[in-house]
Amino acid sequence: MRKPALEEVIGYILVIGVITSLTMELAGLVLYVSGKRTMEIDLSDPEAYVRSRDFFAYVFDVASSTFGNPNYATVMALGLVFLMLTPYLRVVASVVYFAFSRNYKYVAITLIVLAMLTASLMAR
Amino acid sequence: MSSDVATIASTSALAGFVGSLIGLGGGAIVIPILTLLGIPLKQAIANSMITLIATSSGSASAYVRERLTNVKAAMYLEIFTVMGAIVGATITLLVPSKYLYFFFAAFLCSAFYGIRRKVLTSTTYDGKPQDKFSKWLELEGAYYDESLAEEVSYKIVRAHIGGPAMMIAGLAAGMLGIGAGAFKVAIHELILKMPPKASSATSNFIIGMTALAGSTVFIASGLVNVVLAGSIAVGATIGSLAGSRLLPKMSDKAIRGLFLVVLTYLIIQMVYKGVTSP
Repeated sequence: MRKPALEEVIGYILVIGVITSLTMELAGLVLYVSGKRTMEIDLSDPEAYVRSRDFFAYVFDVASSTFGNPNYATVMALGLVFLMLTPYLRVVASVVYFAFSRNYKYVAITLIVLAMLTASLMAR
Repeated sequence: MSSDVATIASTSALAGFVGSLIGLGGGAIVIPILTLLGIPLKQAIANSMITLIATSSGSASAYVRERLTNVKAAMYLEIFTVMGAIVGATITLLVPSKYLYFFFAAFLCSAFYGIRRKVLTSTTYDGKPQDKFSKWLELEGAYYDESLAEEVSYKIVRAHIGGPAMMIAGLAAGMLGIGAGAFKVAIHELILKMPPKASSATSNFIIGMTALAGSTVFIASGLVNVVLAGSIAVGATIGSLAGSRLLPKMSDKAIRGLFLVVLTYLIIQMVYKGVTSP
């Protein structure tokens, strides 16, 4: 079987990630407008703010609350999580791809980017 | 002025549309407009930064499959832009908004200069012998150029200068919640000597990663409002997709000339807000 090129793998990760997250954002906006019966954005509503401890713990919090008790805020927060994970996953995929290709120079380069992003996502 | 879902989504769509036509990116236009709609500057920056991932990744997915994007060059340059964006976003959280208005105005002035130059001149790629470091990094590429109906191959040079220079682009992006595509393209073409199409596609690809790096700082800051971010993301992505479809049919000079007027207005607004804010 032909090994897919890195460009193809990355292209599909990007397009799937963006479509998934925008679908969730759109669904969340519909839930927001239909539930609140207003288009007005209330900047003082604490429910609408992302309250993050560690990002990865936040991912599990948002995912479990979306499936347990879905509302506009949890659906849209999950959409943002998918959005942020899209470029993150393309770095992970690049590390794996370069490792399979035995290009250790680029394994190191992509690991540096991945380490910086992971450290920043884990910061409180 | 009101901040409701329809107004934010439609102005973001307009910003994404104009941004993709002139290659500046949506953030530089949408952030000043959000502040005119009454959104505090730091909040506009934080929410716009996350949505840049969507607008950049949407178009990047097509460019990367067409092999216009130089993935290896992007991976190397991202070491520097990611570092710059994390530092820039942290500075934004610490600096008073008053100064950020002036930084924004200065950035728009540099974009104004860049666009004006593009109206008057066009960049051409001149082949240069590759240095040892760029060769070690395997920085070369090839793509099929439809307008020339031929394969364009190129070798990137001076990666040891281009990398650190990209940190400045990352810093500006992280601080102001923008893609800083104009900075990135300038570095790619002037220092690294990438051909214009590969340069724009690679810049677009890197913007998604820079936006993620800045967002990692803003997500913990309590500034990200899911309704605001969602409205910008949906509007800006639809607008930028529409802009990229219309792009081949429109006159370059007319678009850029018109946009210089919009840019002048936004620069004046940013300076005014900086002067009048406490």
